[in-house]
Amino acid sequence: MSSATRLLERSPYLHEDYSSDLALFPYSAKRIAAIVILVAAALALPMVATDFIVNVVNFTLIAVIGAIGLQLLTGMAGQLSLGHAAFLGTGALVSSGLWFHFELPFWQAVPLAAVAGGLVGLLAGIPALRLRGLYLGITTLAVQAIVAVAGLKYQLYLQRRYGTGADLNVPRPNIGFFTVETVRQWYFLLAVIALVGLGFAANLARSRLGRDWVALRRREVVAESLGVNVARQKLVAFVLSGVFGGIAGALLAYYFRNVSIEDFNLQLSVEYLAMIIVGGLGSVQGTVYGAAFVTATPFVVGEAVDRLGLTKSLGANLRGIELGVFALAMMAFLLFESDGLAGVWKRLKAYFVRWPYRYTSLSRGSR
Amino acid sequence: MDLTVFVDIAKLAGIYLGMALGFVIVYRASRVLNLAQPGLIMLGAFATLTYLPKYDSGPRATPAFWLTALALVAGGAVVGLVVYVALVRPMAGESRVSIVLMTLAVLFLLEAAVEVHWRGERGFMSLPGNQVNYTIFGTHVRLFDLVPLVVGLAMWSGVAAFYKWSKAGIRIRAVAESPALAARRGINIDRIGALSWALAVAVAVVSAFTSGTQGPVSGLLVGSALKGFTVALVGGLDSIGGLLPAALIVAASEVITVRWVDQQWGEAIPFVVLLVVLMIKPWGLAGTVEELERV
Repeated sequence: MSSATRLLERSPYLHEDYSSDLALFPYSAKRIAAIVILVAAALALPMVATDFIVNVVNFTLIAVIGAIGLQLLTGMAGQLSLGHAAFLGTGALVSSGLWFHFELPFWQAVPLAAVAGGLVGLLAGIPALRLRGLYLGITTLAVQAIVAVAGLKYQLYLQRRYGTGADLNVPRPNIGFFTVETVRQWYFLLAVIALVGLGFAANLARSRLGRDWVALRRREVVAESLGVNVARQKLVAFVLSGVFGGIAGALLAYYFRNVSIEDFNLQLSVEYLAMIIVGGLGSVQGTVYGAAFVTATPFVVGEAVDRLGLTKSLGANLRGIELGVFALAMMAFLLFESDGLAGVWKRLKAYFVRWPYRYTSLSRGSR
Repeated sequence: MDLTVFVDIAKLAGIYLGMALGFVIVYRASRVLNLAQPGLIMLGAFATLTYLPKYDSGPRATPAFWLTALALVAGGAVVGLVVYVALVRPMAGESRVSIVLMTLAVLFLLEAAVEVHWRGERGFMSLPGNQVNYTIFGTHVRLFDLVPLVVGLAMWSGVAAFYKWSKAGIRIRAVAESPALAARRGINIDRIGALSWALAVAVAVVSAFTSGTQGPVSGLLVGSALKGFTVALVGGLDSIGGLLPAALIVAASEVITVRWVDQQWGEAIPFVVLLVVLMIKPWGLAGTVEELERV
């Protein structure tokens, strides 16, 4: 058999030697075709979609970047974080504060926001040296409360000292020589950042660090006796979570062009948690599905109410309805599909790959 | 002598005691961190706002008032039962993080329900005794300043006595100690879980009453109930005995900060206390050590 036909016929599940088992990307013709189609679709999207849709996609991409951070911490390392909004809020305030005081441009402010997010992550992770289990998760709630008050104090100080409004404003982002103005330009910028983040997370999952995280998620004491430096790896998870949160926060600040710490509340933290549950805890591609689901739900609910002509009767309750749909979706995934949308996708794929045989998912036994 | 500081501390400690009690009851029986509790307190408060009749608007109003209050507490117990059976019980065996997320989903469903049904309404509960004042050691004290601590202490000691002496309470303690062994001895763990959830939500409704003595009912109640949650952690999540000192410590630091340092930092101070106490005693003041500290 020539290698070309083998490439065409090989199933991604069939490993004939160790090198294929270890391969980073188990290439097959179908897979390459899928990647080409995806890239083409991503490039074509801003040309065909309306501004409204590109806008929703942009929100999703920012959410993806933030959710990667939470996925690393909660999904992979198994540490509950109820304070992800603190990292986002830090990034947003730091990037806009840097503009306000020093007129630092976008491309310098985002890395500094990442550093600030990482520092807050480090602070949030310090209790990890002492605490275990759910007690540690709750300290993140404490960090959230403290960051919220610190941010509020900062905003009040600015209002008193410089007479700014309630919100902080930033200009359009400038990347050295180019100013991002339209939603379509934003789309390409955000897509690149999200892709780099996703690639980083996917690779991290295969690294020693990622494997340590999975070990300490399963059982901390066993992980420690196997030689995993539990406290250190937890701290690293918190710092990385803070870095991604900080970047997403800075992007949010520049996308809306104004910031207020009040928007970074417990509800935002829980929305991010919902993203990784709906997407699938611990799954990198699930992060994308979950972020899309949670971001799009309010828009879809709003559109549905509008299209069905219910605006009169339900319009005033829109926020409550959105929240309810979101809570019910979260419950449904927790009860019926604990692997999230990533699990659904895996099963669907397995069904078609093996058709007409009816084997269940390959990963079922090993999980 | 100005005793208002002590009155404020006692008042706040009483409220926190009631709010934290519900968290501890659930955690003891099922090791579930119940983040839905603030939502249940808020639901109780809004239901009270709507259904509780005026205390003294007629000769038949007084029994109607007490019966409605009782019915609200009983309704709370039923809600607790439903939440347990429909949403928490099916999650048995899932990771603890997933179960916490389920309670968060319940919190948001409750917030959504309150938002749709009450639509940003706010107002004062029609509780009796609003106008009653005393003068103690030259300090002006309202009856409503004393009610929270009295009610909080009554609930707290009531639950402690229930755990100590009643048959069901002893079973709950057995399950808290070791669910597997308790099940072996013929204790129905499901029933214990259901009982604890019912009790916790009934306690939440009573906490809603006491918080109603202090201010209007509004969505902001969730935030203050979350501060009650820090009390449960400071005391130790499964410890009833640790609750009282924890409530006093947290309330005292909050009142002192608000009064002499800064209003906004006062909002965050319970969380700072939480961090400090947990860094010194990782399982709270009197909580059970659940895992090995080091290998």
